[in-house]
Amino acid sequence: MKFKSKEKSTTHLTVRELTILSLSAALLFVLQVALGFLPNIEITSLLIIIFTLVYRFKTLYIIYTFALLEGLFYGFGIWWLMYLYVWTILFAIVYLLRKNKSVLLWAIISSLFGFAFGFLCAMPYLFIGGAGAMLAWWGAGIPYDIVHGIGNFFVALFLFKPLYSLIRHIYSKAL
Amino acid sequence: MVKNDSKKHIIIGLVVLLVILAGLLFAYTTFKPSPSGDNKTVAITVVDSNAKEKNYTVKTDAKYLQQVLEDTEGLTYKGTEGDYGLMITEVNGETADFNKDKAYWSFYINGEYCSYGIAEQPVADGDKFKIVYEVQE
Repeated sequence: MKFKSKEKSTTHLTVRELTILSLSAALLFVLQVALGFLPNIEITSLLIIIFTLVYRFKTLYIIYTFALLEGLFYGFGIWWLMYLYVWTILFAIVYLLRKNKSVLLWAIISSLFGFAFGFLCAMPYLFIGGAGAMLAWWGAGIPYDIVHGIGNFFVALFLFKPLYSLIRHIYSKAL
Repeated sequence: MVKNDSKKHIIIGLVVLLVILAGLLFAYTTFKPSPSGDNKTVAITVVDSNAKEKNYTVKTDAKYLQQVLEDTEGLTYKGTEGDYGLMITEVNGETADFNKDKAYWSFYINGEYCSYGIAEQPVADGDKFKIVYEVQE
C-alpha cells in the first residue's frame, strides 16, 4: 500500500495538520479577545500574514474557524459579515506577494491593511444604508484606523521574525 | 539587483503609506461628524419595553449625545465599552439583554437611526432624540 505525498495537496489535511490549524485558529481567537481591551492594537493581521506564508491555502480553514468563533463569542451582528471577507482580502494580498522576504515590507502591508480596515468594514453599510451611511460610519472611525495602521506597522516590525520562525518550525515538524 | 528591487519596493511602500495616511486625515476632516453652537435645546424621548414614553427637554452646551444624556436630569444609563464605542445596555434601570431576549436600546435622531455611537453623535439645536427598547424579530 502506497501513501500519497503529504505535501502535494493544497487542501488535503493530515491529522497533524488539522491539529496545528485548529490550534492556530484557537490562538488567533484567544489573542484577539485578550488584546480586545487595547483599542485597535491587534496581532490578528500579523498572524494571518504569517499563517498565509506558512500554511498557504490552508489558512482559509483558520480564517473561517476564527470568524465562526468570533460570531459565537460576540454574537452574529452586521459586523460579523465583514469578518467573512476582510481577513480573506488580507490572505489574498499576502498570497500574491508571498515571494517578498523583507520584514519592513510586511510591516508596510500590515499597516496599509490597518488603515483600510474601517473602509473595508464599512462595505455592508453601503448595502444597508447607502453611500451616505457608509461614509458616515467610515468617517467616524478614521482616528481608530490611523491607530490601527500605526499599531500594525510596529507589531509586524518587531514580531514578524520571531513568530514566523516559530510557526514555520512547528509546521515543518508536523509534515 | 534583487536588493535594489527590494529597496525600491520599500520606498514605494513607504510613500504609499504616507499618501494613504494623508488621505485618511483629509477624509476625516471632510466626513467627521461636526456639532454646532451653544445653548441648544434638545428633546429626548425614552420608550421602554412596555412602549411607555418618557419625555425630557434639555438645555445644553454639549457637543455630543453622551454629554447631553449625562446632563439630563432623571435619565440614567449604563453601558459597556466595546470595539465600536459605548454600547448602551441599560436606560432608566431597564436592561436590554440581547443574549437573553434579543433586545437592545436603539437611538434615533429626528426619526432617523443614529449612524454614530453616543460619544460621536453630534447634537444641534432642536434635535429630537428617541431611545427605544427594541427586540430583534
